[in-house]
Amino acid sequence: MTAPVLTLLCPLAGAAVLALAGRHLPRRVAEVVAVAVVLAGFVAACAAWAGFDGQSRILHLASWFSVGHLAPSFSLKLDALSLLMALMVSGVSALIHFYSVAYMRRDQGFVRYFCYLNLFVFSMQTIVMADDLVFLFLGWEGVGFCSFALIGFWSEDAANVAAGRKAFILTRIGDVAYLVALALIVTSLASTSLTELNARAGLLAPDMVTLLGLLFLFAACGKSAQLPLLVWLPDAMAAPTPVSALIHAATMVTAGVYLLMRLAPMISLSPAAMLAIAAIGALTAFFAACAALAQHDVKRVLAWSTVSQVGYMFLGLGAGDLTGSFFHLLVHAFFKSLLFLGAGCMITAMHDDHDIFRMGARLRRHAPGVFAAMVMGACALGGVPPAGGFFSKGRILFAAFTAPGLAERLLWVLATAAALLTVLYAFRLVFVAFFGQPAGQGGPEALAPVPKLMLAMLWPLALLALAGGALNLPGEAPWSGWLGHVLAGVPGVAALPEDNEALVSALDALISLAGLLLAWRLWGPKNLMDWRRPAALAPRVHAFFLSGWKLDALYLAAVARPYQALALWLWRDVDGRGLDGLALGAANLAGNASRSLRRLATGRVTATLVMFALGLALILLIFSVRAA
Amino acid sequence: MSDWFYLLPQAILCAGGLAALGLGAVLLRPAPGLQLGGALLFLAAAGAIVLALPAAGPVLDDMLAFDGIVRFYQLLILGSAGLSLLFASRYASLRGLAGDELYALVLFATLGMLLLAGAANWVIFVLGLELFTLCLYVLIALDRGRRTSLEAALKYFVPGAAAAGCLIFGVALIYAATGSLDLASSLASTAAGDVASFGPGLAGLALILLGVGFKLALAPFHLWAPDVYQGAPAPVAAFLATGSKVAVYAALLRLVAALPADAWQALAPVFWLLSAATLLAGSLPALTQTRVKRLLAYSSVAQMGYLLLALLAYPAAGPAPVMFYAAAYVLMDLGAFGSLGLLSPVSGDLDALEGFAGLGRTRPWPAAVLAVSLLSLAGLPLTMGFVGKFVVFVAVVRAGYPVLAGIGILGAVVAAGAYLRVLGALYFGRPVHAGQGQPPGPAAYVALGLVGALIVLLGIVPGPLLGLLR
Amino acid sequence: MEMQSVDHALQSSPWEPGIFGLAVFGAVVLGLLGGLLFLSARLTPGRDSAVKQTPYECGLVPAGSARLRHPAGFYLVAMFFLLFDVEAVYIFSWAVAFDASPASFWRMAFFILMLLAGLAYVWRKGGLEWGLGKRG
Repeated sequence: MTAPVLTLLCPLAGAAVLALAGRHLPRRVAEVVAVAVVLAGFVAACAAWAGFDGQSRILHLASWFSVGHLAPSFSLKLDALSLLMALMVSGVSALIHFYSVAYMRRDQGFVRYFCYLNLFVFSMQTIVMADDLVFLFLGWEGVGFCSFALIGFWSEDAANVAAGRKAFILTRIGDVAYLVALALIVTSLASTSLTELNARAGLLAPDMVTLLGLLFLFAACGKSAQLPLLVWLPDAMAAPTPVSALIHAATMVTAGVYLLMRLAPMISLSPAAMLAIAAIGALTAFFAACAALAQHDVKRVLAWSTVSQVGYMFLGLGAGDLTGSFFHLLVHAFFKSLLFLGAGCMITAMHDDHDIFRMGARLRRHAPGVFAAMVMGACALGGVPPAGGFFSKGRILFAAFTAPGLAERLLWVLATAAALLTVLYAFRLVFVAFFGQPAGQGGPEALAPVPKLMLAMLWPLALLALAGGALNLPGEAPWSGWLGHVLAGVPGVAALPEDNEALVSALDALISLAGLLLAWRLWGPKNLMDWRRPAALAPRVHAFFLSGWKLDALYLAAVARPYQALALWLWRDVDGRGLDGLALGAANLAGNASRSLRRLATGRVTATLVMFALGLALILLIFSVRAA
Repeated sequence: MSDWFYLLPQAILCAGGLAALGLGAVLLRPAPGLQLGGALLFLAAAGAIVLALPAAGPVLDDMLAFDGIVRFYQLLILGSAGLSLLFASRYASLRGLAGDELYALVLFATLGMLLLAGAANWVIFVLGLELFTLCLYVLIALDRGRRTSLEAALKYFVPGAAAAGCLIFGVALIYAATGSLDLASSLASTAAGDVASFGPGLAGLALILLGVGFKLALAPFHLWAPDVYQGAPAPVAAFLATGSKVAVYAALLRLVAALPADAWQALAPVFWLLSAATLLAGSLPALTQTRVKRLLAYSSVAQMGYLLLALLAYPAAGPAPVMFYAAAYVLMDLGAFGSLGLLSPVSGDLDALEGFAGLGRTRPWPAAVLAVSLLSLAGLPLTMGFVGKFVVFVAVVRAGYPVLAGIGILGAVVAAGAYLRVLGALYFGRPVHAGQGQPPGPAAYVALGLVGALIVLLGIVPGPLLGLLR
Repeated sequence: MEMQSVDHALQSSPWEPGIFGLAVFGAVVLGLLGGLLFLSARLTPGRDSAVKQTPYECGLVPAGSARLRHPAGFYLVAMFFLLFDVEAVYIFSWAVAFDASPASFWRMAFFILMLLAGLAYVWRKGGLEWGLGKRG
């Protein structure tokens, strides 16, 4: 069982080497170290998967500490879910590391960059494999820290640092819920093991299960950028593009939904919590799809699309279909990393210009490979059959459709509407960026070449994104439903009813094709209207969606400003006048006591001897009093 | 197995000390590597035998005890001696102090500490205590060309002689009261209820406490500590601060375990008062102290207070807190004094706070270990010091002394301020050009690495060691 | 006999020793001491003068410091002589109690052997060199 441990520890070892000795290594060696450890982690994950016999087991590495009932340990839970996830995370991360070598080729801070990147992968693998909730929290916080460090990586620009801080604070707000849930679990179950928690959740009071489910949901909303904590992700585009790919596809945004999957056996006991998960997922999916439709920045389009797609995962999970949710998670990881890496190529060609309206047909002619990759990615994102996204998203929509309640049916309608929007914005991106006439001023005169290594990384991902549906094809054929079979032993996985599946699938296909055509008419080169018309028709709606439903402004007015005012009062009046005075007084008191006690140590031997006599007298006095 | 096997570690150390002296007599100037290697070999051999010997009740006519606790403490003492020598060897050769007497005296002192840690008889108790004290007098004065070193030795010697006299008088009183020199049975019979033995027995105990309190630098018997630690060469101070204290605590632990209930009733308030006084007298003066070696001396006094707290909780919480904190203390103080020695220039040990400015950048490794040790002494999380303090406070509160725990926490907070000033100088001060130390050499790097890694590792994963102690 | 009579006297006395008596005694002693010290401090004029502060009030003004370094070449040898001389105490006491058994003989032989080893060490290290010559 060393392979899973290696998967976990290889990236950590890389980060440690880079942190300790990176500055003294030649650039090439540092890059090789960074890529090799992640590749080694991937090989180890492959070996772990190959050696997996379908038997879920817990690998206890070491005890951590023990205080009362709280005795966390470094233990790993190895089942089909965690091993597949680890495989995906290490594989996608390895590709992104390769890509980073080319993308960061001119950056001087590469040691810091690769160190954090390796640490990021380690933290995520900790979340993926940890069985102990405290150990998991270590990875959870590690992911938060690494995202903070990498989003603000180009720290010369204050806006980047602010984006990093925003991500950190918003995910920390979610973490509070995690800690509260952890405290509740420790006090009620006296154990921090995930397996224990899932096994003994039935013993808890139903309200307690609902509360825990909602708390974990809130924590997951922070990490996975769901309503109401989603505003950090679009700003996180300040990070270098490979980091965005890593955050969106492999290491951070999926952490929240993955945590909920791990907890599925417990949460599924509470219908209210399940409904909350599904509702947040569907609402976020719709919300973010609207916002994505209005963006100009290629990375912001993709960022909002991630929020929306993770919403689908939440919906699938809330509808009770863990398999479908995980299916979509895997497929999404492939096509989203493809799209981001492709966007990185576009940005490189455009001399760091992100605006799709300044790209246009010349980009297609300049980099046909990137164009092809982006089309494949958009097909997968938009769910155009037979790309991967069609099957995975279709499965989630079907799960929502078959779920018993009326509320779920409404959510299905919302999610289906969002699916239409998804195709629209996916192909809006493609058509505007690769077919349009560059508009506005400031676009570069000549396009820059795209490094070959960056292009090469697109193809494996494109293949996976297109063929990802093969992981879990619907139907009765022997090759269909592979993921479902593999995950069958994982707790919390339930089978779906079969009826009406064809109908819903047909509807999905119809929607995606209709959306594709509509997008072609609206934004294609032979469009009937001016390509900017949809935006011009309703400028206020456009501005509203562009700002992400004005959520940032709302938070600023409703939360941040009052908080700032409160903090100002606490700082100036309570802290400055009250507590500082107290603290200074205490410090003065201690300082005076310190000086007077120091005066005892005169350095004279006689003083020592006198104190001997006094001390002895004191001891004898106490003895005589106690003995009498 | 014959009882005599239990003397084997001590015999090996004795042979090692004689061998070191013999080597010095034959070669006159043996290579430092040879001396260090040989001494470490003897220490390792003694350690291996301590590990291999099965636990037993009192052996050799009830002279020596050898149970799990004694084994732990003896290993701790041997480790402390070995690490001190690793820190000391290059330090001493650079300053021309690395004669055979350094190695021989450390080995003999270790022998005395082992005897004290395993003493089951008052004679062995006194013998062990005096043996290592005598060696330490000389070790402190090792740098005999320097006034401060001589002054420190004198200031340790004169009160030490007085304390030894008191201690032996106390032993005599206990013998007079009970007619037994056996540690356990003499203490047990002080409680027989008759005034004739109880009174003199307690008086003897008070005198013994004075002697022991001097050795441990418990307040109010601690006034020698700042001067002696400041004057002694830093690696010697490391050994003085760790090995000797731990050995005395091992003996005190057995003493407390052997005390009958009514004697404990009389002793507990004394411990209460001593530990409260020691905590305050160690933590408070450190706050405004600008001489780092004196600061470390006060900190070591405060640490003795925490150990005494743990000892006070022993009847309620068992030996694990005392033992864990002892291990933490040994590592922290070895790291602090050892790296201070490595950072110091040959012209004299670093002492004034300004001398440390910027060393975090110019001498990253020794400074890092010093920083880790200071953080651990301050009791910050992820270090062994934090776990140690935590375990001790939990034990003390469980034993029903919440006020003491409060004083302890107060002391820790106050002392943290003192350590933070040194850390601030190390990392935020502007480097001064004067006062560059020599490169530490491979042996010291081994010691630095071991100490630093253990403090952090056992701070993050204390579980296995704590489990072992329980 | 005397002890007995003292015991008898104590038993027959109606007064029993107690903490009160001790306290009164202590108070009287402390009061007396304090009073004497107080009176002597208050009543004496206590005028300091330079002449009073000079050491050896023998009419001569001292020159230089009293802390002189004297070359003591025989110092170490004298120390060693003392050290070895003191060991004779053990040998005498052994001789008084000597029971002519081989074990007892070998014990003292070992003791003397140890002393000889120490002597050899001192000799080799140059501890017996007379004067201020170079020493190892």
